[in-house]
Amino acid sequence: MAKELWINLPVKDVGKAKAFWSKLGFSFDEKHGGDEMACLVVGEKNFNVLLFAEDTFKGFTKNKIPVGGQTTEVLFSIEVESREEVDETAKKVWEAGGKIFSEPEEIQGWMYGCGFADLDGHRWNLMQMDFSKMPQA
Amino acid sequence: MAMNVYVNLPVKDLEKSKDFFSKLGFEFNQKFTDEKCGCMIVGGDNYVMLLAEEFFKTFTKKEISDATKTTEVIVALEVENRGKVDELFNKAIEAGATKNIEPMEEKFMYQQNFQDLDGHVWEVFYMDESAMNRNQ
Repeated sequence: MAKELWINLPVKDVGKAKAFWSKLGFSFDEKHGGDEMACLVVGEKNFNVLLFAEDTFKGFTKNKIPVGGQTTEVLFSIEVESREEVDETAKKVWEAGGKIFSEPEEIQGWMYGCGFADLDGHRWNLMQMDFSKMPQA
Repeated sequence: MAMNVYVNLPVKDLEKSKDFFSKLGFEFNQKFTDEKCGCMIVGGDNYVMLLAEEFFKTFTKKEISDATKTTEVIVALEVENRGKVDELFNKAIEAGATKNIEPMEEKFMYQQNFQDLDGHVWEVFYMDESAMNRNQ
């Protein structure tokens, strides 16, 4: 069975994408890095998101990349520890040139989150979740 | 700082998608699975959330891409050896996936790609880390 999950995302400019994520406080695994790829490390479990230059990415998929954030195929949710962290990271996103598409707000009474698009239009959530308040099915 | 990451993918028919991934051997966390969302467990403790398209859109406020025509993401599954790459790939094809590209063989990697029922591209790969480290 699968032992690890990795994500591959296309970016227009690997250097700019690295600068953006660094400003948000994320780090990169330089072992897997290069001119055409950077390995963003997210979360306590060191989840790897590989950012590939668009032409390299297309070599893997034999498919086109959606144009500039007009449509979306995937959403990544990053779970953080506190509401303050959602607010602080949202501010950093804005300062680093990302776009907030959902301002921080309480959701369904047990989550607090916001949504942002990175430099390439990929969509991300920042979420703080209180599972003790989650409605039971 | 960030604790966990969840990958959310839109699907046209949640039941069919759950059935598809079950045939590949994946299990779902029932606590977070309902008629709008399937919480698939991948690699021990990561989650891929399969979301019914309408539900997905409430989070992204965007139209959904037609994944058969454009690809924004490759979800990659690392497995333990070459044989398991082929095994998982073959199960996917049997369950209705589409072959995306020919198997790729690189210095320390072997991989197969497929498109799932909605066209999302999945890569199954084996990486020989010891060989990679020896060559650094």
